[in-house]
Amino acid sequence: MAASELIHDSDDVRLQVEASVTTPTAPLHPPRVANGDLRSTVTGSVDGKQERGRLGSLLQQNQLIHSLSSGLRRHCHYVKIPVQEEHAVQLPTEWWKTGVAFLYAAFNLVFTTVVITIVHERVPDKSVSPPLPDKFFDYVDRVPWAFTVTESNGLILVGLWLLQWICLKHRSIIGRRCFFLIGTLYMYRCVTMYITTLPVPGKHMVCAPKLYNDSTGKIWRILRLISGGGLSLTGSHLMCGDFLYSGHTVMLTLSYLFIKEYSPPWMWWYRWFCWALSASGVVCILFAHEHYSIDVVVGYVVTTRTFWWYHTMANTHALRQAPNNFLSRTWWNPIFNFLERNVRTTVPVAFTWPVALPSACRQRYRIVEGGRDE
Amino acid sequence: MKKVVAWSAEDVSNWLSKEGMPEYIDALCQMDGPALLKLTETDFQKPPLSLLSSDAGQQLLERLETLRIETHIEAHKNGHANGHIVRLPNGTTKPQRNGSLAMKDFSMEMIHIPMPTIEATRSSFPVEWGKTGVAFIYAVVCFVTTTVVISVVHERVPPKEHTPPLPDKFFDLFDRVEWAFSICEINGMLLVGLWLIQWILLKYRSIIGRRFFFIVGTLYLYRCITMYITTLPVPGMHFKCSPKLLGNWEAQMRRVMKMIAGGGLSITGSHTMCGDYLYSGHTVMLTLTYLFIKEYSPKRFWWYHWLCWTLSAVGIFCILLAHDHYTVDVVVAYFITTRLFWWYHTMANQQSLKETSQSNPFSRVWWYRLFQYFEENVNGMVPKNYQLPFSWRALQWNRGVKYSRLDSQ
Repeated sequence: MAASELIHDSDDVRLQVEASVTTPTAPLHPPRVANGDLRSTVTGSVDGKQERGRLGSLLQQNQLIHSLSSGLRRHCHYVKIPVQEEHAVQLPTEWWKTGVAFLYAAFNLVFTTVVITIVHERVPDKSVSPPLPDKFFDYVDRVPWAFTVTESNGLILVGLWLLQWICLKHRSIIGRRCFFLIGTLYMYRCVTMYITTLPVPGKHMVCAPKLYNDSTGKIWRILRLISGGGLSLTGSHLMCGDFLYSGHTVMLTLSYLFIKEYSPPWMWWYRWFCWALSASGVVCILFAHEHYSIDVVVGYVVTTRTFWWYHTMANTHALRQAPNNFLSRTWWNPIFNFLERNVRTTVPVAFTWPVALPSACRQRYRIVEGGRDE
Repeated sequence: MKKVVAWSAEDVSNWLSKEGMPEYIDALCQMDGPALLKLTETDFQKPPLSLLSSDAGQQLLERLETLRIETHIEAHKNGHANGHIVRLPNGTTKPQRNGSLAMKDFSMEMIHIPMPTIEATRSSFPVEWGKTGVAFIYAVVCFVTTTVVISVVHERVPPKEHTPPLPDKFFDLFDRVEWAFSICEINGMLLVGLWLIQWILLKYRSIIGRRFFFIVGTLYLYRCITMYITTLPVPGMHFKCSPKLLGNWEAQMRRVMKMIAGGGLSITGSHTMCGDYLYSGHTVMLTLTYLFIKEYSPKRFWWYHWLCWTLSAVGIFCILLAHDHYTVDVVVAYFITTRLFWWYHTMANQQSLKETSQSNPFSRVWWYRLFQYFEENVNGMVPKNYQLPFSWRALQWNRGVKYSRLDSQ
């Protein structure tokens, strides 16, 4: 856009788009004009006539700035160029938001255990409602030790993710995302478990007896389930009815997705190992006839879709200003905005020591230096 | 603006008076463009110009320089970006790009201003009916597969007496209403009809039709999988399932044909098979037609949007009221339909999401290649323009000019 067009438009100020600079005595820095043309005329000789020209050109520069800005305001033919802020503000830590996300996840996990206890009362008895026909069960007979494999794989994956998370540099932001996704997926699970109750998938399942109105007993069961982490390994999960969809699949898939997303690209062997753990864990759920195939499939689909949806919203900043942002039509969009409002770029995969080096080391170094100076 | 070299004497005089230097008009009345450009300081030291000029022609010379630069910029408009710094030793022009400086005795602060790329104003929406045809075939294949799978699953549904209906929260709260399912199907047919009419009137119907067929096909494909792997029992004792034809392929084929012919609706009497519960196809059609109607109609038709939303919501509620599907079937169907619709349209409208990259998690879906095939030549958001499917010009009675909101062919 040539400034000359603006000049010709404005009929009040006749402009000279020049900035005279004389060398070498007094180089005059040309004025910084945003979004505009800058022309400088360098005249090699220092002359008395140049002095007059210099003052005149100073005046003209001011006139230029004034006219340009008024012209810009009038015509609005300008493009907003966002100036990037300093790097430090790009990824603020904001641990309190991570705390809020943690509370959200904890609440949803407790709520899930409550719903499992309620649903347990409504599961139809094995004799009344036999297990539903399932294609996988038709082909593969039950393997008793398979579920232990699932749960140990799950524990290993969660442990690996925990270690990785502690060593990440931006652990507050990533932890926030992890808690939010866990909370949301378990909340969806509460809804699907509660509205329709599937019968037990196999005759082998041992369900604890129903406590019809025994509230104290129910609360004891809830506490036992929470303390055992919901795992059968710890003997805490004796209740039936929580089939659609599978919480084990969610944890296996989600921890693998997070491990893959936030690990350095060169560690491909690590990612393959975790993928193998995750896939074998999920398949073993079906081998053990502990969940229907539909539970595992729906669990996998919901987990992957929600994870990818969230990360696309977080990483694609063009979407945040887009007028027709379909991704923002989910119900959790306000929560997303709250958590990710100040995160301005894609979170880089960077690692750092979780604890700072002890200051005693630094102190010792300083004493040594002080000694040398003397 | 004509180039200075092409200016005639009259143009020069006009320019002089415009620039506020009428005193030179008489002296330079013989000069044309190229001669004007050749004026230098020495010319102003001799008469007649030295008599006219009070500042030895400085003002005129400076204006001339500006003129030279302007015409130079006009000539090379596309090539220069982001500022143009010209060094003029002794009157020769030397154009420089974006901040490079030929002079070394000069320190200028350079600031790098990243110019934001303005979204391509050339939005292209090629018609490409071939791709729409592919999408249509894909949808048809998925529909036929669904019908075949329903027929297969019907054989495996446990009988009502053997496996009673599963406990469902909605069924506990609301008793069955007999005529509710007809309402659901009537609403569904109305919505599909409205969407068809709207689609015919759209200008870019090939692109939008392609999207509709692809999404419908994929949703029914997912439905095949979920129906097949685990079979839920009938939701209510009122169901009348046709008898099982074990191994009788001919009769099964005929059943499949009957269902396709009837569109899978109970109203037409074509859907007497059981077992297709997770997830609900009626919910998919009701939700999807509403989403498409709302997306591709003008915003000011809010009453139309509200009408379709009511039809859709009442239809879905009536499915549950009729005890024809479990609640989880309807919820899962709604979830999957809305997510797929929004996912697809976000990818289609955002150019950066059409490339596979580490920061584009959306590219990891299995249908990404198919999506790229359909949407690679569509740049930008498809506008909601309307156009009659055939030209009315042959039938025009009045000769007057017609202004219409519809685009002409």
